[in-house]
Amino acid sequence: MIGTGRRMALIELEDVRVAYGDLVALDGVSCAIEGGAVGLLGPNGAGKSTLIRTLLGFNRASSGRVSLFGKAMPRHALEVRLGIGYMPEREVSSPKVSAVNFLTYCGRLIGMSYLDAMERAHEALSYVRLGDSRYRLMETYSTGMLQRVKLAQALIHDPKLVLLDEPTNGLDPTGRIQMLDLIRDIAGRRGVAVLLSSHLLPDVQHVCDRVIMINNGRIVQEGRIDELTTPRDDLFEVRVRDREAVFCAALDRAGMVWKAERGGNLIVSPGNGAGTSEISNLKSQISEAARAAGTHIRHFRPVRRSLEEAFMDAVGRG
Amino acid sequence: MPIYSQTYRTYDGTLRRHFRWWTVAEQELRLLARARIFKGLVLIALLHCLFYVLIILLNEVYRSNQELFRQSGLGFLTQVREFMVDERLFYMFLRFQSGLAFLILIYAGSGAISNDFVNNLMEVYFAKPLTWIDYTLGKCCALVLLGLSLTALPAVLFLALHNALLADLDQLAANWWWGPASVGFASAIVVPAALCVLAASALSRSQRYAAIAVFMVVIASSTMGVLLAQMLRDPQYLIVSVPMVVNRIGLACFRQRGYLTRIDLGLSLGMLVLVCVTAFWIICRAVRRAEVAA
Repeated sequence: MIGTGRRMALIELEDVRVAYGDLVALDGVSCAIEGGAVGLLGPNGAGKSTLIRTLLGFNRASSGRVSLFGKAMPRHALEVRLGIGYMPEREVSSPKVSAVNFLTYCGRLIGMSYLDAMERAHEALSYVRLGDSRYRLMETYSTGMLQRVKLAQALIHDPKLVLLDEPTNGLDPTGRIQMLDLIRDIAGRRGVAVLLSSHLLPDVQHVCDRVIMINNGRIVQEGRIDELTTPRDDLFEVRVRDREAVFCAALDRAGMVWKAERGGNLIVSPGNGAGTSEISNLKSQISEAARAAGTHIRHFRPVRRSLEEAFMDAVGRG
Repeated sequence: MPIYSQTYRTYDGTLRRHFRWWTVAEQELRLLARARIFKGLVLIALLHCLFYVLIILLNEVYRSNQELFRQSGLGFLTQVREFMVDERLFYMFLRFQSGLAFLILIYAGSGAISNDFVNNLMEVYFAKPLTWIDYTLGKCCALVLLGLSLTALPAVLFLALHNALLADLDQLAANWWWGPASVGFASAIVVPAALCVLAASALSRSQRYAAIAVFMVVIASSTMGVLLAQMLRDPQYLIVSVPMVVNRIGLACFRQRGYLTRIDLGLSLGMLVLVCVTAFWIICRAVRRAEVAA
């Protein structure tokens, strides 16, 4: 489970099962999220959007328990939704109104007075950096601007939890980075809990410190990203001072496998079929090879497992 | 702090918990008020109202200067039924206004729900503390209020104007029932039309198709009603036609006689209730599905 259990969890799911007719979209999902930025990773059709929609009360669990802020869903859906901001995956637009008017309406739906809603609309739009174009009709907006409006409407009422479903969909690289920076700011400086659903691993790694990996409607892995990407004891990144060719020959003689990387580093691993003893001796064997080549090691560190590898392992298991 | 330099901050205001349906209705009317075609249609409806205001004023001018009119050879105006202010005038006003109101309701309502579906707005709305009941109620209220403000409201204002000009309490005691009759007939015109348009909008994902569908249903039901009544030589079959049923109720409200009074009033009311209930059920079902998907 994500979280230490000391504080009350914002989101708690206990053996949740959601089905669309015969198709089971979530099967026995259990997790608890206390706060911070959590990534929801999974391939297309894994059940990420269904999980988010279940948290919002759009999908009803056929069995299990869903609660947000300690309140059971969907029974307390209206109270819970007061504390949630939701940015859906699909493109949202109200073509015949401006972003200001659209956000004012959203604020009023939440229960704000007209003046409060108008003020908050401007604040949220300024925050997502939508300039004077906020007064233009939304039918004239680019995808990036619509994504910003979508984020702004999720933030207008200052929610405790923001659910973001594929927030960087359709954005160019610059827009994507800006969007991710905004999300990181929300989770970091603003202290809002963020659940970011994406199949783009770099996006999740950019924003989140924890992940939940989901596949075929089941949670297959969860934890802190730095824990999931632990250093490997069978793969080292090495750079020597000089005589690199001689060092490589020494590695070959010792039966090790190496690969030159950009930047002058070598990735060294024990050869195929290496046993446990070879792996545990890898560090000393590399040192021995350097000594034999008459050079000094300048850089030496274990290679971390990438999130992609962790994800592929988890999805493979799923 | 100037509003353009404000940025995201904690919200510490209070949130209203009730009447969110009214916010939906208000927004719908606000959106409509910006559309040029809508303004044009409403202007035509208002011109029609103005025509009736003129009749009421002319009637008063004639009433207070009867001798003068007779001497100038305009005494025949008393014989023209269209210039007499009585229950028939109110019935005729609403009957003609119903066509315009129907057009306006189709324009206003055909995109009311379908556009929200097409633009994926339902997910955004229902992620906020808004229920499908609030949403449905808001949309229905907006259209019904719009329709009544084009039909019942002018009729009631005509009655007030007429009695104000007469300044005669006896007359008021005799014609007070024109007010409730106008509201009754206007409701019979507006409520089924509004609900049918919204039902078509909830079923279709295109504003245009929703509008066409409503037109087709009205034309088809009228044609079928007339054909059945002619072939089977029984006017009761006109009950299949919704516009004729509405007209039948209008005749009953204003105690008028006509061919349509041969249709049973109870059956007409039943038919209208059935249409309303079915349309409302379709709207509820479609909108609820947007909030509670599975």
